[in-house]
Amino acid sequence: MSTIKDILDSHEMTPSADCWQKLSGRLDQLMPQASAEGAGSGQSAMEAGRHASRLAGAAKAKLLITMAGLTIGASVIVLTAVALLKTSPDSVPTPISVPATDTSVTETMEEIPYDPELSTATPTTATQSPVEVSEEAPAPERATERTSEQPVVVTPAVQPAPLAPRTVTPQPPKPVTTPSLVPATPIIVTSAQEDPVIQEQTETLQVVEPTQKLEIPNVFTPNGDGYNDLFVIMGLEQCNKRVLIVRDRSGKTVYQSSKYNNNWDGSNCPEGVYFYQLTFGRNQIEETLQGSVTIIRK
Amino acid sequence: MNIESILEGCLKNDRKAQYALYQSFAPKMLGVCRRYCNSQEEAEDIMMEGFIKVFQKLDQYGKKNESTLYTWIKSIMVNQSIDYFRAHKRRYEAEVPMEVETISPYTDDLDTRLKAEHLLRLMDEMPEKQRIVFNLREVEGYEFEEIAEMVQEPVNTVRVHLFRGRQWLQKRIKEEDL
Repeated sequence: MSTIKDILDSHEMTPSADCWQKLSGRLDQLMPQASAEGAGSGQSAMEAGRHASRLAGAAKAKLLITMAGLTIGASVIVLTAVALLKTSPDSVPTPISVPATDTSVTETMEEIPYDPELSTATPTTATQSPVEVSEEAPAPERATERTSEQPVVVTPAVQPAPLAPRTVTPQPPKPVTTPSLVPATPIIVTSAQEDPVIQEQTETLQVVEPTQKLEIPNVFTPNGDGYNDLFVIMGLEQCNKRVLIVRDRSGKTVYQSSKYNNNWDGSNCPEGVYFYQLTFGRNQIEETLQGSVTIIRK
Repeated sequence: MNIESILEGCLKNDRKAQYALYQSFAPKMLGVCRRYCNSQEEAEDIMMEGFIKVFQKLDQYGKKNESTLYTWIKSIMVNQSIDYFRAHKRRYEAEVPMEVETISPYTDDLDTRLKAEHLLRLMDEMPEKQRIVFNLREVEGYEFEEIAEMVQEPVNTVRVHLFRGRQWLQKRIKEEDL
């Protein structure tokens, strides 16, 4: 007799052969081994390192105390820094003021996209004649002036640059056909003008019947009493595609069928809520429904 | 090569000594890590990270001097497993504790037929959070307060997880007729 704890606690596993190789590879990266002659002095080197870090820590602490104690000194330093900033000449750009103006310039430039296609591709009139469109491209110009005293937010001056005129023939819009709401009788399309080749063109349109509404139960009772023992979806038999996936609450798939025949009896599934995902359809028209179904066995 | 010289070598970052330490602890530790994840590959990954921590922090071992080397390494592996779980939250849903039940000590004796592999495979399906708490409490023997800190949840939630975990496992063991 043994308990779960004993079994699990005493359980040993053999690591795979390359496990140590991987580990030692990682170790080589993270803690590279000292060279052969240095291996013996590794301990002393580590000691020295620790000593050094302790020293460094002490020095840092000392510095902190000095800083805290000398607030006047600190403010003098700040003052000096401010003074340095103010007096810095233009020829020596300080790293504080210059990047600020730079970012403002680039950001403003990005806000003005220029796309010549955008302005010419949409014809405003339905005329079939070629339309001449000339566009002026806004070319953002980088501001070059920069004052020496303080950072200034620079807005780019927009200068128009000439662009070669383009000739664009607008395309008539393509007719869009939607499969919905098509009457079930064939439609004869007759052209208004006589075509020398085809007098009359008959086209049969594929009519898509809306799939009958499915009735999906939200509960079934697989207890063998002959009533509601299976997860039956009414109306599914008229679909030629019927993929059913059922998952439990943790997302684990408990049932799956690529052609569901209303035969899932919930075996191996304890009572509870399950989630189904049903993809059904016919004639290439597909629809997916999701929902929950409860299994009760009372 | 005794354990003292192995440890000394490991402190010097000597690869041979590290290998010796790895060899003597890896099978046990792989068993520990496997309890918290779903495959040997995952367990090996966790164990590798754990061993890196062991080698990096070996100089801290023995400072507090409250545990044996085995329990020290094991606690690193357990923490590594919890970290791994946090990084790869797979099936964990925030469960609201509905009731706090009184938990009687776990007394189920199991037949020796119950093999560890089978049990582990069963536990692979156990809800992640319950599994971690179950392991920490029933196998590792941590206190509820410690577990609550480790998984960053209130103590009562931990109790509920443990209760549900036990229920779940008992039910499954019965179902599988182990």
